[in-house]
Amino acid sequence: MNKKGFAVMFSWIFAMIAGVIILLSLVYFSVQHTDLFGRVSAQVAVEELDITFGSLKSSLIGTTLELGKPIKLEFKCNEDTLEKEKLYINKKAGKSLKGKVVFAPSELKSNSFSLFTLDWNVPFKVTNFIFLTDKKYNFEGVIPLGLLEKIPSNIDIIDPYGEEISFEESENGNCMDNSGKKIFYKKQDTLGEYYGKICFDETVYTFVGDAMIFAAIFSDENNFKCLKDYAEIKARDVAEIYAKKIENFASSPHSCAVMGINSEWVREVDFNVMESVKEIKQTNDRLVRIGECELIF
Amino acid sequence: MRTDILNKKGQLEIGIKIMVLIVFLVLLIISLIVYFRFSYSSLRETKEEILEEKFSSLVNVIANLPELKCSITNIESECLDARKLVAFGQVLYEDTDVKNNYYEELEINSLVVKIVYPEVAGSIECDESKLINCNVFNLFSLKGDYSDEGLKYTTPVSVYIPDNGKYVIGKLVVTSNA
Repeated sequence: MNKKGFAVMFSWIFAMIAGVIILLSLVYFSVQHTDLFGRVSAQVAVEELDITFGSLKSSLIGTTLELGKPIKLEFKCNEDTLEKEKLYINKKAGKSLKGKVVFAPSELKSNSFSLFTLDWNVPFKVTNFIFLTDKKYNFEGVIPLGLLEKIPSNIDIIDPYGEEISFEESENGNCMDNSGKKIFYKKQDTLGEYYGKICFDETVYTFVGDAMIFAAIFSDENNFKCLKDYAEIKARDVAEIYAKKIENFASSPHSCAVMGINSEWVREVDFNVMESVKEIKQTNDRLVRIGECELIF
Repeated sequence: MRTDILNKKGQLEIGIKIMVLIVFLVLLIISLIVYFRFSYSSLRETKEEILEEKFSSLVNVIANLPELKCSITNIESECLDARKLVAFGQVLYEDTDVKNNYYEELEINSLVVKIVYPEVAGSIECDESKLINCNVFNLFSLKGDYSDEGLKYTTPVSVYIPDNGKYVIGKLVVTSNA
């Protein structure tokens, strides 16, 4: 009877040990392979993309992002909040892209994305615009000379069956309803950049800088307007720094630095008006010609 | 008699089953606790890796900001312009909106450039009238005191002094809570 009692106790101990081992094994495999319904990997991907975009602010590159499996990216820009543009992956994770200007369609779904950067100069460099797309585009009309050369050679976005973008070399074109995306442009030789008007149907936006043309090509109207406004805020901050730099020229041993330069020009520049932007460039070029002068930029 | 035996047997069976249930629940709770602890430490490791990557990248981004970098008509060179550094620090000190915009963009506690060579005794702040023989450019401080509190991320930089046309060696120090 004692041995029988001992046998019962042994069965209990054995069952408990076996149960603990089985449960711990299940826990181990769960921790290794559980992704909380895809949320963890989506959030890690969002953070990694945010870091990548941050690095691209200061690098001019062109590349293709190959992700192995299709993912859905959503870019939502809200002018009313301080957070501006937000990136969502597979509707499971999101993050605010603070400080990064990423022009992309509102929704992209693919396993491969074209990505490149271009600096926006008005006339000083403000930041790099980052362009991301999964689409192809069909450029119609008179394409600005040199524009296609700004697209890195390893990026292929031209397709006759792609989204139509119309170009016209004119300063005074009219935006019309149902005309889609249309870009009226002229080249400013002093600045070496294009300027003009961008139409999303009948809504018109004036622009300065080649990078703005690509911004209109790659994004939809809501994102374009929101990010353009954000870029102008950034440009205003940079202009404030250059204006302060000009004011500090008075302390510089290079006396030519104060000749005819007004810090208020820089503070009050209109980044959508070529004449306003050109004035700063011309002043800077004068300083370059004089020689041994500190420059505005 | 037989009924008594059967009753006792039944009670024993019920007791055994209740014991099994209790033991199972205890084991399940222990497993869940172990699972969440492992998950939490795994997520924490991932978070630390991402933060390390983020701030390594951020230090390089700041060192390449066009409003700090040496340039001639937008052609940049690999140094920081001392005149731009002073202007940047002054604007962020004087203009709260600009300061808030940069804080939103960078999410750091403070940003300082310290000159390490040639050496200057003490800690002398550089300003618009003193770019030579000074060794600290205070660029940004969330609290306004340019304190050293928090995690520090550093990168070496070359600083161009326009007053004498010379280059000095410094370090860009970013301080953050994360």
